Amino acid sequence: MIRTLIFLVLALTLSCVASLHLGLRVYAPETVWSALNGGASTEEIIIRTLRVPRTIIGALTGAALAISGLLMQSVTRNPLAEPGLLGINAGAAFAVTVGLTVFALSSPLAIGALAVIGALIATALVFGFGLTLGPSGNTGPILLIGVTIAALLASLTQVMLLLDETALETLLFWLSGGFADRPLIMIWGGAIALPVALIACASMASGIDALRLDDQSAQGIGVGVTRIRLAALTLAALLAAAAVAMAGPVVFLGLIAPHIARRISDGSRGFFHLALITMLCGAVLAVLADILARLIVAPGEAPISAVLALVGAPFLMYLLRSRRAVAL
Amino acid sequence: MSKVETLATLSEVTATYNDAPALHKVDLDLPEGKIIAFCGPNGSGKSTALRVLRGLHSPVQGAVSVAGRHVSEWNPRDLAREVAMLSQSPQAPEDMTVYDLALLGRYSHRGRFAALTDTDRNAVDRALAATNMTGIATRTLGQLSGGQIQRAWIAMVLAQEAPHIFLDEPTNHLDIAHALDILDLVTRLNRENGHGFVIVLHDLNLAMRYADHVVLFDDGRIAGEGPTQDVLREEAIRTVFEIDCRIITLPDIDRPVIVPLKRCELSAICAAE
Amino acid sequence: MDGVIVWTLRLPRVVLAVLAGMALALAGALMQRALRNPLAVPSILGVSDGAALGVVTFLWLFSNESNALTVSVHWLPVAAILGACGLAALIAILALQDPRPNDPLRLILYGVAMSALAKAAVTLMMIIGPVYRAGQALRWLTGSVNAAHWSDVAVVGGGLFIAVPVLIMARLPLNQITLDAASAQSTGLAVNRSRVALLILSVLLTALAVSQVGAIGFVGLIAPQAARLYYGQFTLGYLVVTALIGGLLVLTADTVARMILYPLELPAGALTALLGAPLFLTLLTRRQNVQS
Repeated sequence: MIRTLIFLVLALTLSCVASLHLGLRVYAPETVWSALNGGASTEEIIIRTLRVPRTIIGALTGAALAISGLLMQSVTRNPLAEPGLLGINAGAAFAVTVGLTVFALSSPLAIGALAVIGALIATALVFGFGLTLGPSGNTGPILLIGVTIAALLASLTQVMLLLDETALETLLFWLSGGFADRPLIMIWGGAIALPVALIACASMASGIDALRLDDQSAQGIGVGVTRIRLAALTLAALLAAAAVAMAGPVVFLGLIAPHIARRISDGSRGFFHLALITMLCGAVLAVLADILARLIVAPGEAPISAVLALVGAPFLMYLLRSRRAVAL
Repeated sequence: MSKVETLATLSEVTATYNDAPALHKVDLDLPEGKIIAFCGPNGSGKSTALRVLRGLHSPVQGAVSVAGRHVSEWNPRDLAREVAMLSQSPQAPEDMTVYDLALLGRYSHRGRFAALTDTDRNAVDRALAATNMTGIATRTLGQLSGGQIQRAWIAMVLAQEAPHIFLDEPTNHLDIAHALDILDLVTRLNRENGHGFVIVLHDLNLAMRYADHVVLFDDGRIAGEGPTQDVLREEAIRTVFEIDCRIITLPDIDRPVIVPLKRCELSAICAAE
Repeated sequence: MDGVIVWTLRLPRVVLAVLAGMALALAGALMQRALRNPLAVPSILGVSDGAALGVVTFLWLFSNESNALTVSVHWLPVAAILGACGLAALIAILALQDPRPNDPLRLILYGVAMSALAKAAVTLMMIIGPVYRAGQALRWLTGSVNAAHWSDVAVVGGGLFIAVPVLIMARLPLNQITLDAASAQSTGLAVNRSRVALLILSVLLTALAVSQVGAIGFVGLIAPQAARLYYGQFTLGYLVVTALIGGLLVLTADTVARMILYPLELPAGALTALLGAPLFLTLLTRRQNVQS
């Protein structure tokens, strides 16, 4: 089992190294090395200011989204649950669009802040509606409410963008998600959120493991079912909000990274172990996808979500076919 | 835990499921340290009463206290250390092993970040041994028969090591030998370790044989309560279950047996009432 | 003159909106039932993304430098249907060849993976290809009913006309499949066959609707849920209510889309969620309050 973790850490290191070298221009190892050591040539500055940040942002975003998706799937027991279902992406996109069209806010920092605010308000709205239905252990309604509110916000965003074509042009880049040219300060969001999330995951791990039973039995052995569910979903929302601030709305990753992780881990080690593997899978996938995004439509850049699908979907299908059945 | 004379109390409790009534203004005091059986026809409210007692279902009105405190004042972990419960049709993923399932019973004893301690392992091993599951502890639930799954769940409940244990039809899916095994185990835990049990039992003869105290439910109300042989009498069974029966003592057995004869005629019920 | 406009423009548009809404809603209801997951919608089996792939491929293959189609535009719906059914069939084949074909989760995962692939292909084709084709495709992808003809109405109407008797004949299996797979099987239902039949019907209905009106979203997800809250149990009556809610939702969306910013017309697909979401949330909270 430790082998899987070591393997994933190695894979992550390798893909990060590759990400620093590959792209529209392929740099030699010595150039990259001297860039990391503070070299001042144009190439070295490009590596330091563009390649390094996008690699870090890619890894952090991937890790955050993957854990977020795992938390959601685990506590709702629905394999289709993913951060987008809490209205995160739609809320962020809506807030950013309103910020641009109404208040003319278009600096990268403002966009990042608006994204977080929008994501959290949308989630609060989903929880608010969910809680008016009573503190029931049943999570079906929460997911449905999430889908509904996400669709509502997406629809409002779409209408606003249809009316304001210049806004559409300005935002198209942000709205399609990606790791390049993001404000550096946003890295801190992920760098702080991830360790905190891991500690929280460790503290909730035994409770989330117990949620693999039905709610009645989980309650019977002393799990505060409603409380732990709410805590896990809140954590998932915060992680996804950090991710959307860093990289815009990135879809698919939060959905498939947990499924891939479940199939490469042996499943008996409990939730925290699975969370570690999921996080590493998410980070590796994101960095690899980002490398591909630079290469496949060069000199342009492909949207990261599309590339994630190209990388992740075949891998998921391969795992589906090759491994034993895995329950949620 | 301070010594309390009563295990649990229901006062004026009314409970419903999606507006369908299940309990009507029930008052009930359950004595500490005994094997208590809840009996009654299907839908008479015995499972609901058990779930209300364990805080798994909120009553519409009335007060519930268990192990010396109002049920809403307990936090889930503390209550789980006092009262373990096996619900009626519990569900776990098919790829979970028996050992892992039993280990989940230790939830309320483990610290948030703590690794498994020897206490946890020993408790799980004892629970597996008590239920005869040690040999197949590494199998997954998907590989087990219905009776084995039921025993795996009972192992989980025992691993919880709570002084009180609620069991909702624990003999479900068990053949007669394993049913007797479980109830003998219950008796042993009660006599040797002083565990208190509340058990929903369908089989009146098992209740007669194993229970110290019986609560007889009928249509959301309590039709009788007290020491087993005072409650399970021919007339009471006739009014509650609408069957004719004889209760006879056999040589060599200290408890009598109930022999159901036939469903009683409608006129006979009217006459009895 | 007004009469002609109503007859050739407005009326087909209204009828098409209602029929397409009905087809999408019914397809959603069947899919949720067959897969026992309230989040399952036909797009999970790749219908929408498959159709989009069909359309984009069609525009790619059959338009020339000057942005004109080299074949009749009437072939576009055919391309959409081919794309939708082709991708759904591919997913079905993958799932059937799986070592555990009975598990709905695996079908869903194959669907999610293949749809994501198709969507990625569409995005990349739109990026790599010339801008004018992207514009055409984007308009189609949002979904609208504003260019409705009576021939479009006939296609969707014909599909529904065939589906209705099938559904009436299938009402018993539809009820039975609410049980878990083992219990349903032991009551005599051929679970897998019924599930496959329901999925095929659902895919066909969606493909027909999508081919005529584009990928109008949200109806298939929310209409069955709303009907459930409003009407209750899964019966034929429930399917009727589902269809009516679906039809009404698309019709209202299209009408509002036409009026709200006159003379600018919005695509109906942008408004289904805007109108449907508040309706659904109201139903959800109201029912809960009645219960408690």
